[in-house]
Amino acid sequence: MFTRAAIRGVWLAVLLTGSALANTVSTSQTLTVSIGAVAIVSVNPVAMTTSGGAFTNSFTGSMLLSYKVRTSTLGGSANIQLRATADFTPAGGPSIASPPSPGDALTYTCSSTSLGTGCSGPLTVSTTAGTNVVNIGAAACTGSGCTGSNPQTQTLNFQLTNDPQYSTGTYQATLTFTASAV
Amino acid sequence: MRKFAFTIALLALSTTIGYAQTWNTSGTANLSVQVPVEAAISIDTGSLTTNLTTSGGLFANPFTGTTNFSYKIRTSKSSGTGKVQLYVSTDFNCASGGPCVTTPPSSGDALTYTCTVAAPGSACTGTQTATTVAASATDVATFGADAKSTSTGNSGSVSWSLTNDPKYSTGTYTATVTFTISAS
Repeated sequence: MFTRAAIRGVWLAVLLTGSALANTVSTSQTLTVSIGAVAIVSVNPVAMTTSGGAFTNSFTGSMLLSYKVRTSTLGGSANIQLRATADFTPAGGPSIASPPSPGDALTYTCSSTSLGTGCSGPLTVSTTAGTNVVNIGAAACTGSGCTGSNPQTQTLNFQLTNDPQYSTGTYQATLTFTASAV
Repeated sequence: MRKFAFTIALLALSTTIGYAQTWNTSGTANLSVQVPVEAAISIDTGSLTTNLTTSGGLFANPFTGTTNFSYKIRTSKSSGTGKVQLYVSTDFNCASGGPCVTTPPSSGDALTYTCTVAAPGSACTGTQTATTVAASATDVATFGADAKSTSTGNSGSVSWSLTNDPKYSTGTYTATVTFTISAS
């Protein structure tokens, strides 16, 4: 059934295939990825209440700040800052920028910082200047094999003066957390 | 069964969405505070014991003295009210022959007072007669809606007058007066 020319063609194909299988060709390619420093945050609402005797205690509330950070190995750092971008509304209650009485203030402390150095001492929230919530050093990372938790977390404990000058009601302010890393 | 499973899956999805975190280089958080109605009163240290004394001619004047107090108050913004009241929670030792609020030795004998209160309070009007009945406590000050004291508290005082009745046996007699502040 097969002609001689056809049989030769098959053998040639077999030989060519065998030749291709016998050769190992190596090549190399350089893959470059640039991994930059980065810091991101995730925040939750804070509801402040007071308890105990009348005017005995301040309004208090806590918030869990979550963050993920990667800083440069050499000379890197990161921080997260907090600023009030909208004062309490409506008018007649507490105010960060123009408190009704001297000494009224919205302050916060930091605790349970999983990575970095949390703020120390009560810090006063401002509508004009940011305050450092947490500072992180070089070679920081978040995830498997990194120090801390995933995500990193820190508890912020807020305190607001309970001034009789506040009218009754519900008041709301906006806090903005800004993360930066190098 | 399928419907049940679907519902469970939907609930799980909703829960996940509800607690989903958003990540960015900046984040905003709403800070809310509920400011309630509150009121507190404090008798000034120097008035914790108020001595009633008399002067002038014999039996010419009643025993008098002043109790100073401070108050903090915040009444409801829309329709709030408040008041400071007092009553004699422990009468003089009536059996000892001295003054007695409940059953005075002579008709007309009384422990009375007038009031002074800094705004936003309104002082009691006229002369009030103290009672030993808590449910009938008498006013010292009243407050209207959205009444707010200063952060350090506002002042008030009660000026006492006790009849100088010759029937009182000599001696020292003590009664306890309870001040109550309330707000709504």
